[in-house]
Amino acid sequence: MSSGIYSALSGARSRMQLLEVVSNNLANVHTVGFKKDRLNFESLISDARQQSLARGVNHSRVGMRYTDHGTGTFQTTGNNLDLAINGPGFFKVQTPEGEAYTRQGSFRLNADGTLVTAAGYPVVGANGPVNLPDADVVIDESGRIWDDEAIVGEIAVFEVLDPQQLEKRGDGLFAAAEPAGEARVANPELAQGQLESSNVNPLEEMAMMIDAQRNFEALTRAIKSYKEMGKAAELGRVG
Amino acid sequence: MIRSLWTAATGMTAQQLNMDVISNNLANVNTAGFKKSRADFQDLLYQVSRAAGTESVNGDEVPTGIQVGLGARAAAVQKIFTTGDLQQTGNDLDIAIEGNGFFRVMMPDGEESYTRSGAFKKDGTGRMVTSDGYPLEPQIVIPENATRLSITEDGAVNVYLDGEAEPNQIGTIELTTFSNPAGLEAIGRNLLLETPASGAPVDGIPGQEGFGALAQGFLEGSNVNIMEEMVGMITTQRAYEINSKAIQTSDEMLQMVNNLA
Repeated sequence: MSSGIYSALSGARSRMQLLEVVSNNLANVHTVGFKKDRLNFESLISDARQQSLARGVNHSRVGMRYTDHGTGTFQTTGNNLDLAINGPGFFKVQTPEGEAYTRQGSFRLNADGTLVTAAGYPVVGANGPVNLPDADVVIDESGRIWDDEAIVGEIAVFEVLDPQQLEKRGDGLFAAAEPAGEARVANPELAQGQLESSNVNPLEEMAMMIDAQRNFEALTRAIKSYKEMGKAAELGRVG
Repeated sequence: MIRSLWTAATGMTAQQLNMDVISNNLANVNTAGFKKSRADFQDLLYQVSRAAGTESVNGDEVPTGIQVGLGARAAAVQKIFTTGDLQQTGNDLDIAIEGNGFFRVMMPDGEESYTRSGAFKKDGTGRMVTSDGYPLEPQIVIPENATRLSITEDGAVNVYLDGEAEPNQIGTIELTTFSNPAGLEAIGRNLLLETPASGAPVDGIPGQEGFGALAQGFLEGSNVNIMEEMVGMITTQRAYEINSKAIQTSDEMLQMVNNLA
């Protein structure tokens, strides 16, 4: 049997993985602060190893996933504790598994008056957890929280050296596998009463989905051809 | 393959919940004191098929691994406590709260519940009650021979009795605040219950620190904004549609596989 059938198979498998990523992007088209994922394909046998015997044999696979950290559009909610970051950086939250980053600024107060995420993780402010007397506060662009004339807390925004090193953890969280070089953004631009929408563009994903499907179709057709050729006669190696 | 089917299905489920929330908001667009809800979504777990930091064939470190997400889910449906528009009704027993706080209402089972809907009525014994007949707490009993009723900003209820020129104070309306009103549990009929997440109720006098002032003859409308909900409905529908397309595509690809044999 020809080895070309395995090339086609590896290609088809990669397209399946692409569809999985696209599906996840689409499922999160309304998830606040969500960042879409992209896939890069790579050939498994590099050009250098192509020889006369294995000419044309080129298996492909998913080489890398990366997250597109582009900013989503802002949506006005009018809710006091909704925050969006205009620019790079993340909010930091304390989870049972350690600190994590998020762009999901739909915060609220828990029963103790601590600022938490929708999943209940405390937000790490400039001086540790943020405790507020009530939700009726004004948060200025740089993150200072005002209750009447007094500053009652400060939200901090952190920038990570290489956001691609962050892993997605679900719940809108990004976590660093190893301590990532982080720096506090000195003058973040926060928008109170706004939320950052998911940066998924349904149109783009749709095009990608069609592309993946058509490629998949072509590759399965190739597999089928090999099958029929094999039926006619064992042709052996192609190319 | 099957993974993308389920992933897209979680997206559809999430949008369905979004639609449920929007429908309820729209249904209550004319409910006095109603507070709209919003569904918050989060991404589900990620499966790691190639860990970051592992070595590739030629000894380089893989800079970023491959993680495939498994979809979305609803994290919370949160009530948004922005103030609704005040509508003048001219009715003596309609009261709106300008600011924070809730009216305290005694339920038939003796439990206290809280409401922003100030459309009060007088029952057979003269008590100020909600539309369902639950008395305001502390109770205000309006004497039978009262000709006029005035409620001040700070909650004092004064009545002018028949034949008397001077008003008599018959009670005070109190308000209650919570550190986290979003944690209150809605039980329908405009009523909310205390939960561990809402924090303990704090009673106080209207108009004082942290408590809103009262406005007699006004009702607080629902804070639902029809335009906003309409846009939400359209985007929800589109998101639902495109997720169903993802399911369809996955299905068609599966079909191609089946046709291989």
